[in-house]
Amino acid sequence: MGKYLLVFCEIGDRGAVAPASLEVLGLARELSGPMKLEVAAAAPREISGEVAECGPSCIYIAPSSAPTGYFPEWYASFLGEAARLTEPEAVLFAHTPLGQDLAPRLAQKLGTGLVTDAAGIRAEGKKLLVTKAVYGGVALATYSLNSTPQIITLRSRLGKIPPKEPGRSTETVEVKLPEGGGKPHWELVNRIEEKSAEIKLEEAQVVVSGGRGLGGPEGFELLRELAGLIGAAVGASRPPCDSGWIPSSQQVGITGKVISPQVYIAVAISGASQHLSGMGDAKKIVAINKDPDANIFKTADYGAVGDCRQILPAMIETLEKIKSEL
Amino acid sequence: MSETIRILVCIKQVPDPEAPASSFRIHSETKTITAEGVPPVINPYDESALELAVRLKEANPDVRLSAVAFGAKLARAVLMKSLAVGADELYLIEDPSVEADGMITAHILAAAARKIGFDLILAGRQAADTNAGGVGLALAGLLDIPAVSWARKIELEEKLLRVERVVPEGCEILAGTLPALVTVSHEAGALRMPNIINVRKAKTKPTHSWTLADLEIGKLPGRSVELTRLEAPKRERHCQVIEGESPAETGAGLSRKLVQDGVLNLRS
Repeated sequence: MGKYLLVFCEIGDRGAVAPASLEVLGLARELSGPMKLEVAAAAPREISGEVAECGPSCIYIAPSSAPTGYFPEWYASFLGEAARLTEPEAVLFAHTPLGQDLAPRLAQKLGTGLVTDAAGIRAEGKKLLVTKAVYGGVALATYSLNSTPQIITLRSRLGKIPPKEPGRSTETVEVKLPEGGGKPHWELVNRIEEKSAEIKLEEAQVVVSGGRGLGGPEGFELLRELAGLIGAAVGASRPPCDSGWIPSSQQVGITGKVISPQVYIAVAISGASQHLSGMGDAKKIVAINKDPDANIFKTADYGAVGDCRQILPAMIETLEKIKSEL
Repeated sequence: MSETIRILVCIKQVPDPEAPASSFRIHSETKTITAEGVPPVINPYDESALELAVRLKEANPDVRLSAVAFGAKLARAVLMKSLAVGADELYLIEDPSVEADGMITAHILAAAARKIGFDLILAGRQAADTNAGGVGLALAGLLDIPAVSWARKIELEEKLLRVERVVPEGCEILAGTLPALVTVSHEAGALRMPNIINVRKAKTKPTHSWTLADLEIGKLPGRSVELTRLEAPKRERHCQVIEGESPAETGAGLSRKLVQDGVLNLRS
């Protein structure tokens, strides 16, 4: 019988622990009580100090610094070894690009099953019941895993970032990578930054998204104007991305980015399931669509029916006026 | 004459994810879902993988392209699209004796890949039905070959592979050797439409139907992922509709309401 919930902590944007990993640590702490388990963390050496302050009982760190470039074999090897040492009931990852790349590799290595993109999780004894969107968001499935460790990747904002306890001493164990476990296969030839100056979708409090009904790339110009005014990021449903009106990095939905901003403004988006399951957790949803029967109105808090090419300019004008009077 | 490069593309049959939500029926008792009146499709991510494979074949005449599908109730007509867009042969693996999860599927595909032979395996980054994304990378692990995830472009020169991989900030260009497995992201683009001549030609290409008995598979692992519940998501909200005499008035009214209710904050 295992004693641990093992959480993989990854390095985030600024060299610190990724916030998504901290959320998983927080969630693991909540789950660990009723499961009568302790939380162990596995982290690259660089962030082990910060992870320690977030309350795991012990940390497993790699023998060397995390490699730069694309090096999943190294991580999988490190995690495989950390899992061998801790014999955890479950290994939890944030559903980040790295988490999505590593979880299946680890599951295969350990001969166990996995569930990815969990939107909800609860414990029943030592078993975890995981809820996620399937069939493009048409249905919600609950899975359980009957092999250990249970490997799960978790959507962001499921857990709360635990408060830091500076100076907290935590048992640290250095993992030795098995023979050949650190050998890279892929040579990083180049990295191309395609970051736009705009606000990142995943981090934005307000998101303005456009759909097929915007009619073309010029429709997105109007959207950008509105976004600039209210400090929002610009997103899109799938059709505009497929048509090349906007880069597919801005796609919101199961096939694109899953986000949960404070406010989501859906312009000329009909509300396909796969889109709704990418933004359905937004606190407030505003829908503008010329079809009064559009699906999106069923999940919206505020709605306006009409042609967005006439509604948007009026919205912008009014907001500018209100702003100038502040 | 140079050596043949064998490319294997894994394709999964799924209910059409673009079908209107109203065509799906969720059967909570049996934990199944049916799409009524909508034929199944090849998983769109796998279609992107197929598109990259066809492009590799166009760029390199020495490529032999095989498509392989494992599943239940496979619709031959749907999966033959792979042949119509350029695959040379199609393998259909069906076996009523197995109720697979991702890991079991990976084991079956691994056995099929060993039997068919491969230099490069392509698969979609995830399937549009279960949305799991485990099979491709697990398959690489079982075959003990290196894997890259989320490719949008692949180039092949002899046995050297160059992959453009999607990352949140842009892309990484990676180089490596064959054999390898690459999972393909939707950024690679949609699969081309087959033309009518090639649709006809597809019928003359070899399609092999296999069961597990045709594969040297050894013992399959037990099912580790259990579906315990399937339900419709609850998303209904009460929508306050803002009305106006004209679209312009509606827009102005919406802006005022959103600021009034504190939904939009113009001060920050």
